[in-house]
Amino acid sequence: MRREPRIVAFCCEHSGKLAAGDESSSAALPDNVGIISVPCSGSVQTIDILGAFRAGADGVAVFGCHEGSCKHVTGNKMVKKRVEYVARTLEEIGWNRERVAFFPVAAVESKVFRDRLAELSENVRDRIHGYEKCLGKQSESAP
Amino acid sequence: MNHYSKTVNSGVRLERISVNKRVLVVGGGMAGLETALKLTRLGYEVTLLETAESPGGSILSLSSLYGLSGESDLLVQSRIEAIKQNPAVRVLTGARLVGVTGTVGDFRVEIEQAGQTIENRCGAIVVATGLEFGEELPGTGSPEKTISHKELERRLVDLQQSETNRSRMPSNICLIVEDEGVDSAMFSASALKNALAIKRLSKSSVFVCCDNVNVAGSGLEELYREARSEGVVIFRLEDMRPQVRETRTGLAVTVKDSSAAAPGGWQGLIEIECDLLVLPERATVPADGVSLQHLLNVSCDSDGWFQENNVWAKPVESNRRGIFFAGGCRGNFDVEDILAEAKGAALEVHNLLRHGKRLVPVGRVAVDASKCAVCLTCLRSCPHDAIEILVDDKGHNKAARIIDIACEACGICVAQCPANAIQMLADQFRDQDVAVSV
Amino acid sequence: MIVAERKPIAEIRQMLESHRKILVVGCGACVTVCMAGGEREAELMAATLDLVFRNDSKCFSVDCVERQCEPEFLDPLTGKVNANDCVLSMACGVGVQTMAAQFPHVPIYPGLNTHFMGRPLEQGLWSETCAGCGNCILYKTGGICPIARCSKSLLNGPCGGSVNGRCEVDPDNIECAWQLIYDRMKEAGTLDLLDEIMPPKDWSDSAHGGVRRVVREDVML
Repeated sequence: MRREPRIVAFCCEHSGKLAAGDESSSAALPDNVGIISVPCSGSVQTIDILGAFRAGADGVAVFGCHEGSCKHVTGNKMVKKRVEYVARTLEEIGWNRERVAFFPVAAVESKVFRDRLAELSENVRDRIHGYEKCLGKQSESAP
Repeated sequence: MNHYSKTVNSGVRLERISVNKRVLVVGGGMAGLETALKLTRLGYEVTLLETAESPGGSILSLSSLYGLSGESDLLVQSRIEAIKQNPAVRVLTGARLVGVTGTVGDFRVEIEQAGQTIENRCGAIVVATGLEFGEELPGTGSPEKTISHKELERRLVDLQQSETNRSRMPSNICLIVEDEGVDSAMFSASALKNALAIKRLSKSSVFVCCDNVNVAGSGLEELYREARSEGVVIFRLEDMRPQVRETRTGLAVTVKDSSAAAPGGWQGLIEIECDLLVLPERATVPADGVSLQHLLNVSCDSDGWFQENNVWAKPVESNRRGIFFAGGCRGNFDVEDILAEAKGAALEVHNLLRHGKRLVPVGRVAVDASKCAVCLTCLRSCPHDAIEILVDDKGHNKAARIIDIACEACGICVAQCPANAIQMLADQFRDQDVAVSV
Repeated sequence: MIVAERKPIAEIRQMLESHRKILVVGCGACVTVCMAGGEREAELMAATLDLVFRNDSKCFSVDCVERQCEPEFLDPLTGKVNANDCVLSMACGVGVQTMAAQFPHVPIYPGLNTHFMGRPLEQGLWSETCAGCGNCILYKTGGICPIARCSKSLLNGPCGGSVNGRCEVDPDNIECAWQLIYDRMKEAGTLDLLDEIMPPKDWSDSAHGGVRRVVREDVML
């Protein structure tokens, strides 16, 4: 049985959260995605991202405002650097660095939001299935 | 899909914090004067700083560029008079801001005047330091044949006064309206007005080159049509900076205007022969402006104008609560806009200080002093200057502290702290929240 | 302050491979400030190791003390240390050794490489500033240390490898200390101090002279 990748999306409440829409919006997000709303993408800590992986997430997305449009001026820049740090740490431990990514998005860009989530899911899904196939069994998510 | 929203924690409480109702306006030009006047009408006491020996600002020397020809004196003089007679405004000329500490509601400023340092306290600061025009022109070109818009203005004034000079007007005049770092809004109006004036005063041919003629001001659309109907030729500057080369008789300016392109490959490169080339001089924040940015710890855009070019940067607001910008220092050039901004800034100040006290949520973000290593990371990272280092009575550093009245609860400091010493009580998510979400 | 950096994960992994219960201990002093081993970094380390050893049944716990170089701060850890198979110390070399002295029967692994005494040039960038040579001559060199900041620790001016103010050892990252000294002293108007020729350094006061001690009998209990 193929398992859907579990994605955690940290969403800035000024951009990502709005682009995600709410439960009543017509294009509902898939069940495998968990949204965590934050006051600024810059408040997402490195430990939160690693914590998400530790808790069983297969992929982590951070949605923040576009460059130059952070309500708190430098929040999105800071979190991008932390995402890069996590990506390099993942590489260092033998994991695929594409499991974590920062996506700039504006409040109205619902489609972009969904597209990016889909991209991340795809990147991650291939890995899970490849690993499982190679082990000939279902297992925890693979590096 | 799981949505995880903020958990409001009862650890946050509201406090009434007193704010100083005095306002500091930095800059005594059009914007500064208008802001000060509006503030007094709203009942505030104002300290107005001006580095020059008398207020008035750059509009006094640039009146015709603004298209006001002579009216500017009236506009400014009447305001200066009103300020001088108003006991609620303390005007300090020959004065500069040299130090700012504190936060919204309680700024402590140091002003230098005639070698003395004056200390002042205020609840809000409005920066209206205006702009100045550089003398250097972009590109090369011989000085006799290449002049600035300001210089053209001056010559036109001479022309109007003397009949004999009119016949000596160069036969072909080319006005370039924009360049790197110079917005078309700056010179569109004056270029059209001057082009029209040249056509009416002489037999010269006039060419105006501009990527987008900015007619977003009252009367400019009509001015544009008038200029064109009286024979001013307007070319578009597309993609390419105009190339200037010297010819035997004068200058040749090459511009690209694809609307003039013919089918079959011609790119629309047009060479304009002219005897006089008018180039846009760069407007910048006055030299003092750069140090003002660091003094106040506020953002500027890539051209040096105050206020980030950011969708959240509402007019007159800065990244620091209690500090506002108005007028030319924001790269604004239109007089009506500047006056509107000045009034707007005064109203924002009023919004902030009106009750003499502000209801502030306290404790949304808090530092655990026992864990704080005073590494200064949070202080450096805060985009709103809402963190200070507490000192004890002997002046020793104790710990960082969040200044609640300026804090925007963005959580950046929380994320940056290497000692986990800062917590955000509201909007908090923890490991178990993440786990549930997964 | 002391500037250190986290060891590569691969190396730490090897250290911890054979242990099951690991206590990661951070330090609240220098390594907090240089973002290498404070409480936050200790947590990050534990989280990362959790992912590294995902399919093994290892157990990581985290703690942090004010300073790992003081026995009084380590006493409260005793219970936790004994409840684990080993400790991964996120302190500088001093802290690791103090832990090892306090808990001789528990393997104490260093999670960091301790580099130098230095200062931040900007947030996130630290540079070596003091070599602990034991005989400070900063008043003679405009407040810039040629021992620590000159690649050759020269005492009487630059060598021929000083080009455009950069050191030939690593022009991209190292400024020529003597250029800096000259510029600083020129601005201060104290260039005449450089006329004094400094004799060959007596290195016996530095690490080269053997293990050093500092004693203040008047404060001893």
